[in-house]
Amino acid sequence: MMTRVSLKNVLSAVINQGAAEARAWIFGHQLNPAGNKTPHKILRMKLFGEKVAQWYPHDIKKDDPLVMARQEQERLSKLEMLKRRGKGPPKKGQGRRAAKRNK
Amino acid sequence: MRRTLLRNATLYTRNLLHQSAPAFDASTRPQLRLFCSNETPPPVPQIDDVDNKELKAQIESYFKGDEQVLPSIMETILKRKLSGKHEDTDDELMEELRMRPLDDVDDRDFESDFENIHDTDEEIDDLYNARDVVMKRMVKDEYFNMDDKKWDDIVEDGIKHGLLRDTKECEEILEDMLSWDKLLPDEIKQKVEVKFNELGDMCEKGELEPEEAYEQFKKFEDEIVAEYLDKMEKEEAPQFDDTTVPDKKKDLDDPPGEGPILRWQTRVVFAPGGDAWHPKNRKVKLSVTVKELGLSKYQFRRLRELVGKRYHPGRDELTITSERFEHREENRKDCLRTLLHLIEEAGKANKLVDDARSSYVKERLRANPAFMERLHAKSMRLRESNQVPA
Repeated sequence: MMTRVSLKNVLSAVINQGAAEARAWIFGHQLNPAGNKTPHKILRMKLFGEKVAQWYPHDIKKDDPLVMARQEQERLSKLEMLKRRGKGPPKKGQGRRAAKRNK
Repeated sequence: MRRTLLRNATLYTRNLLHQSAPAFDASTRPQLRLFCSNETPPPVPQIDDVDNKELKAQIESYFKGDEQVLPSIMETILKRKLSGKHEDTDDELMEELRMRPLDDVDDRDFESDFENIHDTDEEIDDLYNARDVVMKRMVKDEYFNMDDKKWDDIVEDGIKHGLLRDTKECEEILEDMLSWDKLLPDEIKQKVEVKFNELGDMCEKGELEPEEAYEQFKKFEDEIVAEYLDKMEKEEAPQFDDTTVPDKKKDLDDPPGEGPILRWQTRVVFAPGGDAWHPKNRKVKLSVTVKELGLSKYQFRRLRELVGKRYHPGRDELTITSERFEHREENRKDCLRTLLHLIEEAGKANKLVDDARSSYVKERLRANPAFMERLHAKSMRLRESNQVPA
């Protein structure tokens, strides 16, 4: 003999039948009843690459090859002078990080 | 025409003696004014002459005290003047009569005539008590010394008792009174004008005398008025109720159209530069009163389940917000689409409830063994009855 269920409870349960799916469809939600990991959070985000790039203004020097070549030449000259004075970049295995590792 | 001319001349002659004339009827004066000015008097034929003896007898009777003879004396003098035979003697006689004052004159005649002609207000005996006199008159006569306040009270009373249901109708009546000549339809005006011109022409030609013409015109006017009254009686007049009628004022704040009222909230940012787009302008908020949607009990509960916190129970207000698209109008469309989908989805509750109730009843019946037994037996009988002809 099954336990008797009152009509009021039946009707109350029926009213909310399919409400979650309907809500998701109407408001554009993504249903995930099991709580699994989904990429929806990232897909939902608006494209913000351009907005981040706007933070750094456009440098007009980079459009001119002559200016860039001169800057590169200056960098090389400076590096040469440092090497002559014994202040150049260290060889592999003789830097601060490598020495720390051996210790 | 001769009578009119004679009468007019006689009137003028009487005024010379400063004696008041008897009162005229209202119909006589406009008659004279209407027709005399337009007509040229024809030459007067020969009039009977009055001899000196008769004139002398009349004058002697007047001097003896008979005042009623004076008009006839003046008429006699006029006749002699018109005949042209006694110019010298009559002129002297008129001068003599004019200069001679009358000794005994009855003031009653003057006063009675004066009062008959000119109806003045009642005389106030005690002028120092004018305030009391005015108060008495105001008590006696409701419409004495009317002012704006009294008029407003009368109008308010009329509106209250239903006599003046519509103030606009009252204004129309006042406009009609202001321009009364436009009240009658054009047909009647044309009829009256044609009749008037016709009678005028007949008077000018001499076919009709002015008195007869005026009488005919009067009859015609009465006929026209009676005809118009008959027309008005055919159109049923509205009947007024004596009971107090409440003022049914419409709710003027209610906008036109059907359905619930949608309240939109948007933001407009005025930024320098030509581009009107601003990220703050994107968001749109739509509010609607749920009671106006006309939902049933089950539909309402389903709607609350669907919208969750978007529904405010205190104000019975459902708010839908959208900033999904870049432009405000697109977001407004999205809000409206969402609202319509919500109403449609909530409407499904009735069908679900009906199906659930039906299935519940069926389950209860299926669980009843007596009912199932009777149903089984009935189906068996039906099956056997179907097999008999085979």
